[in-house]
Amino acid sequence: MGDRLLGVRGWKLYTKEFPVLDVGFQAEGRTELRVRLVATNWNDEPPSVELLDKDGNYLTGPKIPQNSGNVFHTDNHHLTGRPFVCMAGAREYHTHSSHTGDLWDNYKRRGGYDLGGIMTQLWHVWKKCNP
Amino acid sequence: MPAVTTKNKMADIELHVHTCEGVEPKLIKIASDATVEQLIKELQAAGAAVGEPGEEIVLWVENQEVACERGRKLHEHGIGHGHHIHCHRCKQVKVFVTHESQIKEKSFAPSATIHKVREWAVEAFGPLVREQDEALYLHGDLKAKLSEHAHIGSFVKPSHCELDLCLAHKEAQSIEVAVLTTSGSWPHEGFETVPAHQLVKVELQRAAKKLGLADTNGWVAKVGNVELNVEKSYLNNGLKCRVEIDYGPREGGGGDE
Repeated sequence: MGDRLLGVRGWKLYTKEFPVLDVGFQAEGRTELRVRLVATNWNDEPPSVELLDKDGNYLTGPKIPQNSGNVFHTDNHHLTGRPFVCMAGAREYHTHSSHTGDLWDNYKRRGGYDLGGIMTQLWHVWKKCNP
Repeated sequence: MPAVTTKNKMADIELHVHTCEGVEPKLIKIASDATVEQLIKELQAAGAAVGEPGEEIVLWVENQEVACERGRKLHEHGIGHGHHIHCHRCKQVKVFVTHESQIKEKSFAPSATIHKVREWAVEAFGPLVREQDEALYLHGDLKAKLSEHAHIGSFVKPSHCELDLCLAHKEAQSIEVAVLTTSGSWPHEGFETVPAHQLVKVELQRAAKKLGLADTNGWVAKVGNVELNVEKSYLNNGLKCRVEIDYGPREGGGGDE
């Protein structure tokens, strides 16, 4: 993940030290969203996705980006007790009672489901959210 | 008194020896009755075509597809004064030529000239190519037309016996392109110069290959916030001069929950 890509996308790289990829999404007129992928047991398990503010605090319900097409959930996940990402590729999705039948094994070898790909998918979601 | 022996010393000949170390051939002087083996050793002594231990160096006459046998004399292969030969570690060079949105490939000996490859490419791409208007370039470098006399082996490092070329109009309008992904950028630094009328997908496919991206199915290519139609050219996408293409998966869909 080079400086050119970070510059073009407006990504701020906080950490890229396996198993953590921590990136802030920035754009003019937008509140930064920081997304931290924690990929313990990669890639037997998908990464856990944490939604943070720029200071690294977990986002609470009202601060979760709106109109994400059900990707950024304001409800708390039963395992983490926090708002979560409900999208294939996120550990919280595959462990959610509604999606336990949608196995990570079906995704993990596909293009776009490495850590950079999952981060990219979330960035596209964020760009479509309300400013 | 020791016996006097007369030795018919053969005249030296000069050969233009092409290698992977640059387009310009080296001028080597050697006895006309020397063997191929002796010539290779002569070259290696001069610091050219030095391989790893155990690696075989092979010699070809220009535009000949069959390699010279090491034990035979140069003249037995028809090699004479002023001839051009090629010395390389690649036995074959797999050449990929892009024209418009199509790619053709064929393997040649490293001694094949750009002229020979261009003639093949013009025929392979068919009647849409106007021979007099086309030239070969290194893919991604539309600024410098390749010399018709250069050997393809001169553009290929021995560790990677492939060559990407582009067949384009001599006066083709060009555009500088870089493809950016989370797995890296292609080219790693700077930009490739490609024909502006080339379809966007050609460079995306090339970047995927170079970056080792096995699956880009469904990926989206964007410049700024504008999604490109990869089945159209840069010009038809309204692009010119220089672009950085952001290439990656689309946004993920949310669960129903």
